[in-house]
Amino acid sequence: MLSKEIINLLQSIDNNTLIITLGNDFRSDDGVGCYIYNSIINEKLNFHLLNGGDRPENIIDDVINLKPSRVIIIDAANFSGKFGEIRIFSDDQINQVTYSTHSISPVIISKIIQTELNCPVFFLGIQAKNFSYGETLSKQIKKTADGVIEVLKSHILNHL
Amino acid sequence: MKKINLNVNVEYLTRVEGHGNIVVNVKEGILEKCELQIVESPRFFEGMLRGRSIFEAQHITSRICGICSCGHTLASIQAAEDALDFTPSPQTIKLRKLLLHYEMLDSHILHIYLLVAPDLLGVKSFVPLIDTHGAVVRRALRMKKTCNDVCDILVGRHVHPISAIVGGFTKLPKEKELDEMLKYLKELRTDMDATIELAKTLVFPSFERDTEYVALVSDDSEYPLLSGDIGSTDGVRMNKKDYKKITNEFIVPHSSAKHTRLSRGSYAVGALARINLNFNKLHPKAKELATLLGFNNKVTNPYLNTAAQLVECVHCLEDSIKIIEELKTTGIDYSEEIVVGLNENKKIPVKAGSGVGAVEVPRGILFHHYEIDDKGIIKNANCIIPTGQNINNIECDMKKLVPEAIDKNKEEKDITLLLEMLVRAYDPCISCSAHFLDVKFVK
Repeated sequence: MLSKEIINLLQSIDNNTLIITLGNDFRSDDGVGCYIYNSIINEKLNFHLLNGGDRPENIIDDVINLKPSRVIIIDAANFSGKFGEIRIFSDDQINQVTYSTHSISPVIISKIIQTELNCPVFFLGIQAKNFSYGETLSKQIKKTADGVIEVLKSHILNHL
Repeated sequence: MKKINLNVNVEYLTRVEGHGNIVVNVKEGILEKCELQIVESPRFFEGMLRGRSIFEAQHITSRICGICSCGHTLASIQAAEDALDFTPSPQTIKLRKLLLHYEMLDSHILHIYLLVAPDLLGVKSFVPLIDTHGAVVRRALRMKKTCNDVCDILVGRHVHPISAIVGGFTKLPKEKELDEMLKYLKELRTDMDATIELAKTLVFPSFERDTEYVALVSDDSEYPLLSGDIGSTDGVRMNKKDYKKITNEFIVPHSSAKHTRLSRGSYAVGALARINLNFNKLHPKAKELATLLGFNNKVTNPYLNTAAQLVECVHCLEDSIKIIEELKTTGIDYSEEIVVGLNENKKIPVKAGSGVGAVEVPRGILFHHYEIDDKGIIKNANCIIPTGQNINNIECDMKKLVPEAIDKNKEEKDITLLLEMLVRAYDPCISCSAHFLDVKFVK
């Protein structure tokens, strides 16, 4: 069940909003962003959608060229919440949530977008249960992801 | 050393891979403790390999590291082919060199820009540089993207390569893909030149400690990354099969990573070691930069490992372009493409044996050693990671650095930063190094 705050955010997207999904779909729940991307990419989207996967630096130029007025980043996170819980984080908060020297931090991507485009960035973190090797989402994480997909699909249908 | 008290406790060290602590205690001018504590759990990859086919080892060991996954793949393949007495084709060797260059570029760029540059520019992380050095940040990410893209083209993806296997490649690059890689790499030259100009303005801490440097060495003119003997600046030279006589691993109570030593108390591996041993074999453009940075004589300042990485970036970029141009000239022999991934067609004869792989990966020389039975099943495995070989040397550096800094009246915060920068200079991959488990059996 998504909170009103999350539903409102997803329902407020417009044709100049960019949704970026991140994560590694070989690391179980870390692939939740990719799962959402794959579930909606073939819809008639009325917003921009990019998948940064586990290499968000690869899409920076595309993001800058799109010149979105608002960006929503969706990724798995670890914030000691309930499995599948979804929260909106600020840059300061995501710095505490996820960082790895193996890949470019979403903080860096978010900061570059804000600096280059002066547009707001919302980080939607879904509390993961399992980051080990695997291609399947945990039950609770999939349920949340399906909720996000449902809201986005109904938003698309309502604006056709 | 001046009779002061000093307590440094960095828990955990940032901008390195994995978890490590710096603990230094000085009491009344006596250095009581000076440790780089490795506190991660061992990962048991050697245990996982037992009972598995030699033909799938590279896919398993690639997972040891997300940065050096190509290096682990190549060391694993080399060990397997050594055990099977299989000699890869010249074309396969060229493509493997290309893969190693891509990884070297990718890892070094990440280290130089994201992990070290913040220290040299006086900020705590890469993030503040987005405001102050926006163009530099965009350049760093652009260079990273190029490395990701060329690796994708060559081996299917940028981390954990799919197509590089024992015997060769399951997919060979098409002419169009060679052109694409060449285009990306030539475009990278502009950003590389700008990186060199930036690096010339950076000031590294001054600190000297002569140590033994260990890297691959060879008698030919090629900068050895994928083949050769193991050599040291103290005159040691051994076949890779004698790698245990090089590493001489031992354990210490404060580290879950083993320590190593050779002719002296410690030795160092990595970019600085490679250039100290093989300066003359660098690509002319890289050699020119290396000369400018003072690498034409043995360099004993560990902080300059980062500068050595930049030199290697130039070498790898130029040599990659050269390799692709050669492949375009000769043409790719697609009959070498391996269509069966795990040797199901028995193309490579299987026999019992033992093989060693020794490959220069971004952080230094990496060893894989497998023993297999007559069905190609791994009975024993041993992987010795570069960071594991550097940790003892880092501690020896720390033990010299601390008294010198105290005698120069450095404040505690400055000494702490110098120690953090010292460890970062080695670009440690701590998770990969964790290897030792102290098991107490209760009867």
